[in-house]
Amino acid sequence: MSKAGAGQIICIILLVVFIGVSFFGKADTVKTAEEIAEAVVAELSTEGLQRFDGERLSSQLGIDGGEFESFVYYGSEDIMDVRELLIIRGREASDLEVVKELIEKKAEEKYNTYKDYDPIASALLEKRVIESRRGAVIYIVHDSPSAGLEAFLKCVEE
Amino acid sequence: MVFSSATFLFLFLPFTLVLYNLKLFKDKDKETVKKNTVLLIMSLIFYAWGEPVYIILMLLSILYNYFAAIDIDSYIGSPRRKKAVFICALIFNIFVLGFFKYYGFIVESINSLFSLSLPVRDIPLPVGISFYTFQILSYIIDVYRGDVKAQKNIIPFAAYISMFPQLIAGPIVQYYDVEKQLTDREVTTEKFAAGIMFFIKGLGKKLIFANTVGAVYTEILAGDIPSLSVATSWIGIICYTLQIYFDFSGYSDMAVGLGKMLGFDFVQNFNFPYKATSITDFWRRWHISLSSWFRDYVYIPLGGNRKGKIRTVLNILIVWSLTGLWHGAAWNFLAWGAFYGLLLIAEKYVFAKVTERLPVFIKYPLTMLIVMIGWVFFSGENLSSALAYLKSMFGLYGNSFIDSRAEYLFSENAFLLAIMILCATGAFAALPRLKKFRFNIAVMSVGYTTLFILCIIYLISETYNPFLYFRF
Repeated sequence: MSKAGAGQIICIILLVVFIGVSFFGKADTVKTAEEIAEAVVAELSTEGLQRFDGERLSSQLGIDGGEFESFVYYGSEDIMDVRELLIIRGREASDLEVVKELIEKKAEEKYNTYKDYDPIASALLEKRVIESRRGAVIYIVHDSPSAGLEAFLKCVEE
Repeated sequence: MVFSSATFLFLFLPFTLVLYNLKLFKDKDKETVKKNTVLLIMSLIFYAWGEPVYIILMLLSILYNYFAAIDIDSYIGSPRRKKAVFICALIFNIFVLGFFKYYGFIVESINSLFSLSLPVRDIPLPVGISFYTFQILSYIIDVYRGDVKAQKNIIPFAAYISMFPQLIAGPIVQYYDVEKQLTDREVTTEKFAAGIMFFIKGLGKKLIFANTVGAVYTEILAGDIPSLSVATSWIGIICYTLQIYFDFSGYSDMAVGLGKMLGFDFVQNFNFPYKATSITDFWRRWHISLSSWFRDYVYIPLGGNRKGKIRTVLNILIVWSLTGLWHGAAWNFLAWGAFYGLLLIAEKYVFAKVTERLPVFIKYPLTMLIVMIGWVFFSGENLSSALAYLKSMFGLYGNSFIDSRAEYLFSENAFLLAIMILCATGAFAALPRLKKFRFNIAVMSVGYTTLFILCIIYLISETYNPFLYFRF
């Protein structure tokens, strides 16, 4: 076999290993919710929003923040402002799936409430983003959720 | 890293240009080797900045194809072995692109078609994979055809694939276009100055024009689509039509400009597509490097128009479905590609004689109308949201024709839109007074410096400005 042929075979083996590692072996991110939130907030305007504690998180989304490694939650005091940003670092992957379902349910309820009388709020809720990656969950209701999502993904993949 | 970011403009680019142009050797060949090495290292840093993991994938692709091309070239006397290596290389590259770009789409489609629940894993799309894989494919195919010799030196080959000016969003530079330049190029003062002008022009297109109208479209999309008035929907899609042109052609101008600063001449990707008077004409002017790629490496090898009408129609449909899918792994992109395929077939075989006779003042708005409808599919998050927007544009929700929001949006943006339309259609350049006017160096310098300062002001005031074509 030529050197070039051997080179190709080595590359194929390395590709298979790379795919295997990136596809099946993704470890959880080492970042805390605080660090992830910092990256997200840098790309997302939080003007008019304020950071809340676990009590508010529980009343708004029905989530007990104490069950997770860490969380950061932004919301608004204004009832007509539906914008929210939540980042959770879970302890186990299965926890995060439950959280995602819970948030989705609450968000849908909220959407149905606003649907008939506030088109802007309901449009924001319709564009909501709920995503989990490498042991972290993000929930965004914002004008440009994709910017926040991109920052989140970039941060947890680092 | 984005071209229109402070990190790139004030750190990465100056550092790269200084390092690149630092004359270390008197011998021209040694100097070119140094330039290629600097270009390769800086390109890898540029890519790793945003994709620290997927740089491994790009390096593996480069290495595999470097060896495969040498192998193909060495089997001149053995066509079967040559073909076997070539087919393996095609499979390798298509697999890499297919797996990282289409895995989720394929599994989700299978799940919904057959009511299955196969697990879908999130695989982030490696930035620029569609562009660099197409460059690699063009190289491998050209080597197999004997159009170019395999590059024996890994440095210029790796520099060609990973070259930062066009790595992320094109233009797709075919190997034979730059083969000579990779080993013999010069950065002259004129070329460097032309490069700066191209770059600033592109930066202005992106920061001043594309981002401004992009914000209007995003705001419109944030509302409830069925309740948009017809006029608001049209203002929205006009904004997107202008945004995507200025965004993508701005990026291409920057890439061409950076190429010139590094001594390369890349193909132009746009030629005033919004002054096209037919769909065929539009695609001769829009994303020229992609259209040329599909023509050279898919349409012609499939038989082009040489095998009868039915086969031609089939070839056009295949090419345009692939063009759609190249842009994204989603049904709306497939619909967008098929939409253009069908239109091109209709234009070629059904309406050819009619469109020939139509006056330009009818052909032009008709073409633009079709292009804008196409952008609805392109900009939609999915097929159903695109269809919803389309319904709103034509008042099919029973929505009002015009409302106060449309009046406000129009009065706020009419001037900017008019300027952008004049620039996008080349009407400014064609104005008789401007045609006669000869700009001297002093006027040009002041003009471009002012534009650059303006861009910086826009850059500082913005927090997030991704290029639309980054997601491909």
